Amino acid sequence: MRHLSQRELSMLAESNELSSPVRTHLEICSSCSAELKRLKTLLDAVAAVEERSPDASFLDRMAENAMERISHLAGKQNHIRRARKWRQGAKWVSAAALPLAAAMLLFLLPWQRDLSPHTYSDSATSSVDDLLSPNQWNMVWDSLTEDMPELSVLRQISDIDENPYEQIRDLTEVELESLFDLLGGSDLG
Amino acid sequence: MDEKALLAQAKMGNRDAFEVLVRKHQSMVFRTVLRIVRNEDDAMDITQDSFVRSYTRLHGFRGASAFGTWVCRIAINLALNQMRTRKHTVDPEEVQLSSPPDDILSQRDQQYINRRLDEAIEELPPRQRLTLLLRVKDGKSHRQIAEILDCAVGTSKASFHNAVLNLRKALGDVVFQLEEPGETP
Repeated sequence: MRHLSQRELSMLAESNELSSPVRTHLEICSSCSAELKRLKTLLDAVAAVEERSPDASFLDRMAENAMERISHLAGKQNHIRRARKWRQGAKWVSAAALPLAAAMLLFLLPWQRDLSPHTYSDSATSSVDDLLSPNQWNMVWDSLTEDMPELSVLRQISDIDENPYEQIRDLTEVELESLFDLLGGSDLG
Repeated sequence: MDEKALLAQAKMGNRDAFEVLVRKHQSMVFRTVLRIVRNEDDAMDITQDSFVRSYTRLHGFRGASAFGTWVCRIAINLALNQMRTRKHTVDPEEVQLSSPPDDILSQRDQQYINRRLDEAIEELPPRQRLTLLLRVKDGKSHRQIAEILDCAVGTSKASFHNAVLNLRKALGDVVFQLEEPGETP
């Protein structure tokens, strides 16, 4: 005859539900029956153990202390919330700053537009307007005549000096190439 | 105002509404914590801590369980953490171990029996003690206990039965006196 294990007896003591095989066994096994009774008594004794129940003044004091701590906490939470918002805002600004700066460099600075290679046109009828601005042309012309005095003759002949930009502006690309050859392949880029 | 409405108000920052919730549930939370830490001052501190924490996390409370159950869970975790810390710092010389008196008459004394029972309950691991008391004293089902302790129903049942077996072992012969106090075993 197999005795019931302590766990089985504990489960029976807790549930009070006895199946017929178990009931039959308990009727014939005095040790299992006695142990089951002891466990039930043990649980009843635990149920009867006195526990301290807090009185009203104790509970009042506990609630007041908790709410006081919460009121101090609420003030701190506002500071933390504001600081968190500032940090989030700073993160967004720094994240946006780099692409903004790059966009400015690429698209907004005039000197980038003027000297960017893609402004050079392949068309035979392209005008000098596409190459350099009037001021830049004058600067280039001054520099060239400084290096190559023979160009000053050309200036005198064509009266370029007075308004060199307008004179050069009407040259075609072929004529420009000839002029560059004359100047010794000066690089205007 | 019902609890849902109070919670909604509290989430919007109404501290008066939250205070109503505190007063409604603090007794139950305190008793639960006391069962773990066995010290009233500690139980009071932990109960207050639990409500303060629940206030800071109120925005995350979805209402899947009752508010009281949720705060209880916070309180139990705090209490168990404290017990773990205490385990490492307890001075062995401070622990008073009770031993049964030699006098046979005293052994039959109901007070002695009750004291032994209290000590045996106190010596249980905190989770087992809490499960046992929630089941036996509060009449909670294992499903309800599992929700409070945030564990599986099977874990609650195992915890309970281990508690019973440990008590049985610790009480030894005193168990016979529980049955019929006054008779010799």
